[in-house]
Amino acid sequence: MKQDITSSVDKVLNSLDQVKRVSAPPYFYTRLRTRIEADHIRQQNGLFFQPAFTLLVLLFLLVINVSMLLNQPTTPDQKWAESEEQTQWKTEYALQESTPHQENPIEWVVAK
Amino acid sequence: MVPQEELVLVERLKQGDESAFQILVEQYQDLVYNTALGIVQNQSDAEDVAQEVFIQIFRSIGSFKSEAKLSTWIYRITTTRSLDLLRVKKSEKRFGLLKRLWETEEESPVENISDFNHPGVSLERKEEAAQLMAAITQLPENQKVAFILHKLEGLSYLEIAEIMGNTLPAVESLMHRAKLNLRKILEKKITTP
Repeated sequence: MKQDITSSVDKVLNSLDQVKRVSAPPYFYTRLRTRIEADHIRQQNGLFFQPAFTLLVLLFLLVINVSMLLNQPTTPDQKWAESEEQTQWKTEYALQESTPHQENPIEWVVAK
Repeated sequence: MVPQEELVLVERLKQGDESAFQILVEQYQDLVYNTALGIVQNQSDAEDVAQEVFIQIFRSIGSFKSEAKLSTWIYRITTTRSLDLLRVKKSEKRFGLLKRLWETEEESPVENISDFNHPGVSLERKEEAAQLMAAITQLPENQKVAFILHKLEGLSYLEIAEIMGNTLPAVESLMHRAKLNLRKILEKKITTP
């Protein structure tokens, strides 16, 4: 019995003794080239979805926002120019706060 | 001693010569595919590994030092890549078991239990070879690699030692242990059908 098992095991262990080398599938090189090119394209396009790229874009937007805030006009002249512009704009679109004529028309006529 | 032709080929590869790359692939594709097939025991996985091996060669040929044989370097990449794939598959299998706990019976895929038949084995030895290949999957990684390189690629222990970065006695010991382990696994399988 023991001998039978040993001979069966030996038979199995020697079963790969005259094995032939298996060839790669046909058109292996063509498929390999296709994969290399596909990988290359994916790497190029993949840049936009990389976390580092996203972070860089966010940082860039943050820097622009901060620089806009810091570059706000602060001198009195700039402020005056702005308020002049605003008044003109309000007049043009009739957005001015109430005029004396609108507030009390009778008093305005008497005074005239 | 590295042959002159190989040195020229490596030099052309380092310069990005595409025709040299094609020559390299045609020269070594069977070696890579056959080795990978022995380790991963699946034809489509072996092709996948073989492609990855050549992509890695294409990218890292610059780091190859011509003191060693090109085939030694290629064998090393192939065995590493094949073992990596087996590790990934093993972890996927573990995750699959966990996933199945939440799946209903209908969603759960049917387990694919199939013995791998090596295409290079003759018809009369197919059954025994399938048993041996199944037993090989249970070996530790380094024993598996040594056994596959010796049996399927017909490499000497000295060549295996170069590939695995081991000494000759270490490979001899590995092979001895691999055979002992295979014998144990096979005896167990034969006595408990």
